[in-house]
Amino acid sequence: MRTTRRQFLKTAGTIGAGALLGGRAVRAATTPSIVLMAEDHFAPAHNEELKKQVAAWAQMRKVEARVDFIASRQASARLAAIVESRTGPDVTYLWRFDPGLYRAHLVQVDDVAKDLETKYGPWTDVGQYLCRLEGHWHAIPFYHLTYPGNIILSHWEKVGIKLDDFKTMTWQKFLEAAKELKKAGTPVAFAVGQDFDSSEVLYPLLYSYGGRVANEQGKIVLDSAEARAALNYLLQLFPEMPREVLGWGGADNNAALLARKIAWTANPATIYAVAKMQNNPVADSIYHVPIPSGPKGRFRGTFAISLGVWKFSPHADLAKDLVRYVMQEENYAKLVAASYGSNEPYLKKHAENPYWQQVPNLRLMEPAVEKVLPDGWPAPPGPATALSITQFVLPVAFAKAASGRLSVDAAIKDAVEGFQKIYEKTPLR
Amino acid sequence: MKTDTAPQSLKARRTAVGGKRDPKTAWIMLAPIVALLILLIAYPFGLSFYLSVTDRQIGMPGKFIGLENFLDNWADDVFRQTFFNSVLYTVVTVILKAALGLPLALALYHVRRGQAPLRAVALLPWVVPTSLSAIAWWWIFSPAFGPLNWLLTASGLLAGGIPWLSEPMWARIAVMLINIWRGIPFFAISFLAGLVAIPRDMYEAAAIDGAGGWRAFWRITLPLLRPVLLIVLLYSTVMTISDFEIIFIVTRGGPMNSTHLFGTLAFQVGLAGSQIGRAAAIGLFIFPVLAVSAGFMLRDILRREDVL
Repeated sequence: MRTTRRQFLKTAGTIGAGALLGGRAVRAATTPSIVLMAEDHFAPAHNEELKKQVAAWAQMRKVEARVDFIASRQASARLAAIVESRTGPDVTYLWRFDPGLYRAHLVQVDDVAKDLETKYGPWTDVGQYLCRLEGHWHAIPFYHLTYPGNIILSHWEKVGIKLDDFKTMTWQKFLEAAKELKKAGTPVAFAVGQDFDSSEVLYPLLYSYGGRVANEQGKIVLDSAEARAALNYLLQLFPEMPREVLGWGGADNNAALLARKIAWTANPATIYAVAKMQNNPVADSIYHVPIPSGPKGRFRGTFAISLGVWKFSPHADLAKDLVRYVMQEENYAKLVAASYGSNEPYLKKHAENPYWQQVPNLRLMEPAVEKVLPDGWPAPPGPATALSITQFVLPVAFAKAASGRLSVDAAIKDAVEGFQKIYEKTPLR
Repeated sequence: MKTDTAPQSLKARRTAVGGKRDPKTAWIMLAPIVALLILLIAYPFGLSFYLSVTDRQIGMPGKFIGLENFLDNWADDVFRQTFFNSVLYTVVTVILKAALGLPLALALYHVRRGQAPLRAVALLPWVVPTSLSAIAWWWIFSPAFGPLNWLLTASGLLAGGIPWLSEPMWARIAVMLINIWRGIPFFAISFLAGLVAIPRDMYEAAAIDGAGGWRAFWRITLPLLRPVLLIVLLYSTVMTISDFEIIFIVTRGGPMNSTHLFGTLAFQVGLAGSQIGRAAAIGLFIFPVLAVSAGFMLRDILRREDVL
């Protein structure tokens, strides 16, 4: 019997649709697929290592898995889309306060956290503060990029300061050295204004003088003698820095240090790592040192990344298993090496990795002698704190004082009003 | 005596061109684009309006709070600063883009040799992706490494560099310069299209009557360019006040919130800070003003078409 074109198309279409749907149904039933959304690391080797580890895990578990990389600037928009649509990757990177923002949509991972703590623990304060919320773990702290001092050692040696002097350096000693360094044409410098680099110096400075923005209950306590002392210190230090730091973004201090124009900035070990990757000889001159101490302690800022499993994932248990896998000691060590040491751990055993001690430029960086804490601590790590950080309330107020636009009292008042407006109108948790 | 060249009313022209009116076919033809407009514009707009009257956070249900977001925003120093920044940024850049776009259009109109490549080059700032040009300008304005300050100091024009991105006044000037640089080609090409459409015999008649170049410009060119000018001003005002990329890449709203626009503040509050209700209110704040301005401009344009 002669087949017409219409009959042929109908039959072919039916077979094709059946193969597609049936195939998909069969694949869905027998081969789970896990997607991990990760930040596109500045070190390509880290991305490759992560992909390798995920592939190895997938082979071991006889599942499909892949890693999707996104730029860090895309993160907030992507996460918002994932949360609103309740679809997307099974497990994603979470940045800073995201575990607190999205806890309602994240699987509780108490079992994973406990297992890892038993094997490699304890967890650091910063990991617990950001991910263990009201007694439950809503994400697993993965790695963080702390902000030690990045120095060009030769500039400091010219003013009589050696590497090990940074172990006991105070902010006052730092100020004296900053004056000498400015005279030598290689000042200290860090962003003072609308950038996270600024927050990661100014919050630790505030803490080291005993100041806090908000307490554990979310009450604004910035209006204090301690906060004024910290700001007064900044007013003494600011004239020793290039005034352009008021407009610095995330890349400006990197460029200045790589060009040897400045002697000190606070940054993750990414400047050194990029210089190494590019075979830039300045890499050998860059060392990482503790942040100076204040009268009430020594603190270092950090940019925290954790791993969260979403409730909408049909394979949440598998996703948790993947998280366990990448956190295994040998896998974690490979990621640290691939990141040139910029990935810093949250677990004690991971911190015992000899990598940092074996690299002279990093030996004072890890383990940190300072208390490593994120901006906003100790306020509840939820929407109000997150919003106050993203709006740079503290850095902007301090910048206004440093640039002479506001007095110390007026700047503190400006900041307090800004924080109060946010904390009154935005949920704490 | 009525001649074939006597001007017709708009209504008569429409009937002459289209023949018998057929609204049903017209709506069928328009249906796909209307559906797309509803999906991509009307729905997001409606959703934004709904969000702006709730206390919604990303991923959490919200409750109706009326105009509280708008009132809270207005009570916030950062928002009021942003409002001022946005109005200043829009007014200054739109006026300058129009003022500089017109001479460029006239120049492109009168140039005979190399017209096509010159027009292509003139369009380049507008055609290059905004994010790429913003990154390039960020480097140009860099106080320590940028070529602009180097040029100013090496040439002896200035003793020291200009604090382009670290002082509020200069940061505002910097981002406005970038916006103007990007926007001039759009104005120029639009004006050029309008110039090309002006009948040459009007200038010939004016020349016969003794009108010089300047008088012909004021009495013929400008009045006949007015509809184009109004459309371009309206479009540019809307696009400029909602600018995002230049600020996000070059200054992030700083220094000290001096360059924040509605878009960048809304992004900060809504996506980075998860307060999507408040962010929607930030974005919609200027909508009534824009809607009224658009209404007046379009009414003026349509009235002129009817008269013609």
